[in-house]
Amino acid sequence: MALPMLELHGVRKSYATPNGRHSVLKGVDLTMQPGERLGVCGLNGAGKSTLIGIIGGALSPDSGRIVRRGRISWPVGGGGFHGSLTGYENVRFIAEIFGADVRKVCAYAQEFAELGKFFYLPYRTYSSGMRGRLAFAVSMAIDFDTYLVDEGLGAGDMRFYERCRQAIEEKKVHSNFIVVSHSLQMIEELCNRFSLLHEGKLYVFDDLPSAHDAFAEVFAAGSVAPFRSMWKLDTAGPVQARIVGESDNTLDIALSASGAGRVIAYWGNSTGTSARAGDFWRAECEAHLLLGDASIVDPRWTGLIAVERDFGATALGSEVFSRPIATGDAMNAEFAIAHEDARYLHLGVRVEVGAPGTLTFRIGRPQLERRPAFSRPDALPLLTEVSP
Amino acid sequence: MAASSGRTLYIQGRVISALIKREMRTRIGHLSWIWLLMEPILHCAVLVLLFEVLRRRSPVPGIDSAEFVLTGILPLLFYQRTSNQVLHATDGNHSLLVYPQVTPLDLGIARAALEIAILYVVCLGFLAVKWLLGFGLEFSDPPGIMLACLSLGLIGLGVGLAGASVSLYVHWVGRVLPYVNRLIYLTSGVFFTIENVSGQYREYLMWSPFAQAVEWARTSYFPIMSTDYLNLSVVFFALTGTLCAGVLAERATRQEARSGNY
Repeated sequence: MALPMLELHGVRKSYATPNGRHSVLKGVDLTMQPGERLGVCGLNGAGKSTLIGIIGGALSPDSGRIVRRGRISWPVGGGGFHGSLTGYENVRFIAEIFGADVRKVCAYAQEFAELGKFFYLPYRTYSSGMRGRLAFAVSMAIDFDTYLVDEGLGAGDMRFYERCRQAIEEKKVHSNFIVVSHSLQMIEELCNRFSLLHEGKLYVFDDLPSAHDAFAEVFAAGSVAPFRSMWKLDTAGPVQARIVGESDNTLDIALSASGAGRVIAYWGNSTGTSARAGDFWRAECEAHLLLGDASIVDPRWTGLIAVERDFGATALGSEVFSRPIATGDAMNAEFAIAHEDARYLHLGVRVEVGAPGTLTFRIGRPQLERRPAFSRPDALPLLTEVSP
Repeated sequence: MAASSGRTLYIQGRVISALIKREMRTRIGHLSWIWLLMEPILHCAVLVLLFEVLRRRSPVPGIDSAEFVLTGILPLLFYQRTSNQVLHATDGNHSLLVYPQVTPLDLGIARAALEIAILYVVCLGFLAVKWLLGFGLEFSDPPGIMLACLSLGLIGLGVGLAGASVSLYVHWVGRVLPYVNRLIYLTSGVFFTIENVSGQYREYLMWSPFAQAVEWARTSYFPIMSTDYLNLSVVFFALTGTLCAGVLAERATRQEARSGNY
């Protein structure tokens, strides 16, 4: 058997904070064989970026041993670009510090990132989607034995995501990948090994079903504050929204569900990819919101949703949307829209709670499997809202 | 082991050269080449003018007062501008620390190298003007001039690195350094020689590496100037001390500097 590409033995890392040391990694062990594509999932603040920083070599662990074989990329997607330099100049710099062929790398990155004239404009003028595209393109342009992808694919539209998937497909024979994401679906699609970073430990699973159970347990746990943007949904299964963190003016909402299908939260006009006016979708859901122990509202929807306007490709990086809420506001949820050719149905969830505060949403890549196609109904589309 | 440290050095050289090129692009992007050179030139011009207005008499007989002041300001600028640039090298390029092979030390060295190069060009520019005006270019020790300036630049690198490292923990250090530098400016013999100073103050001044380096540059520059007070070991001691302190402090705080990215 070939030597492992990467070994981590008992890796620990903590940071100094005003309230004493905060332990992020509490003894992480990992062995990666050639040909592995490891997905690292975890809640916000679980230490995913720290772990990938240590693997890449930028951070040193407090203790533990790391063996790296071959060339490892930097954590792609975690910055490293200069705003006043052009995309071209930034790419050049990266190629130079990695000792790669500058001309080749620039040509490849320019083609792959599809930035057009923006490639020669300052980086600060780029949208978040363009930034993500450029970062991923440069890393693909340089040959590494192990690529570290840190949420790098979260930004960018569906089309680019597909291209990234293909690029990874082409490279997977010779290269390993470590993909950090809080999108389970992305990890399912790209990886052949799955891991969960939770409370300082890394749990590695060789097959999807066992990973799923562990993920579901962690992400549904009410004790953890950050919000997950994507979750599984039964055709008519429950969606739970639960307030899990509370500060002076912010309530973090965690939503969870189980079953087939995928749901993404969206807010207001932050809609995403590829729905066209005139499409019809059927949506069924049941939502349940808890504030503390009190159940506030328990609405149920089923209905056909008409897409009222085209939704072009937009940047879909993780974003936080918040909105002040007055006492007594109702909660409701909406599910909507996708293009008939799209692999994904783009659903939205809107939540309003009956207590003062601010709702915080984090929005990820909207992906939702399309319900079976409907023919255009004779009657006007229905959206039945069951009032609380 | 030897092979791997050779490789490390090679990578560091590659990184520093890429950083210098990049630093040039960002700074030219902001200000253009002309301004890059004009800034120190204007600085000198204002001070020379001030000196002319206030005093008009050269501290050393036989030496033009403007030239006397210039030969004090320019070497000192090597220290002052380099230390200031290096002090802010990390916060200005923080995002680059995501690349494992880029360290705060590289950022500092790249900035110092560029700053020192710019100032050498400025010095050459002044000499060219002097030559074009029909004056002869005669120096008592040309390498001495260059070494004096370089020493001040390297002291600046050491101080900047140490300052940047300490200010990760003690934030006001970064804000105080410019004031300290101003004090150094006034006490380093830009407007006078060590010999001009009387009594106990001369004793103090002789321990200032800045005053010593300026004295070194001047005596290497003016063939007619001589001094009994030059003590190069003060300069070399300060140079070694600040560089060691800077490099060690950077090494000790490297993880802290990086941690902001994660």
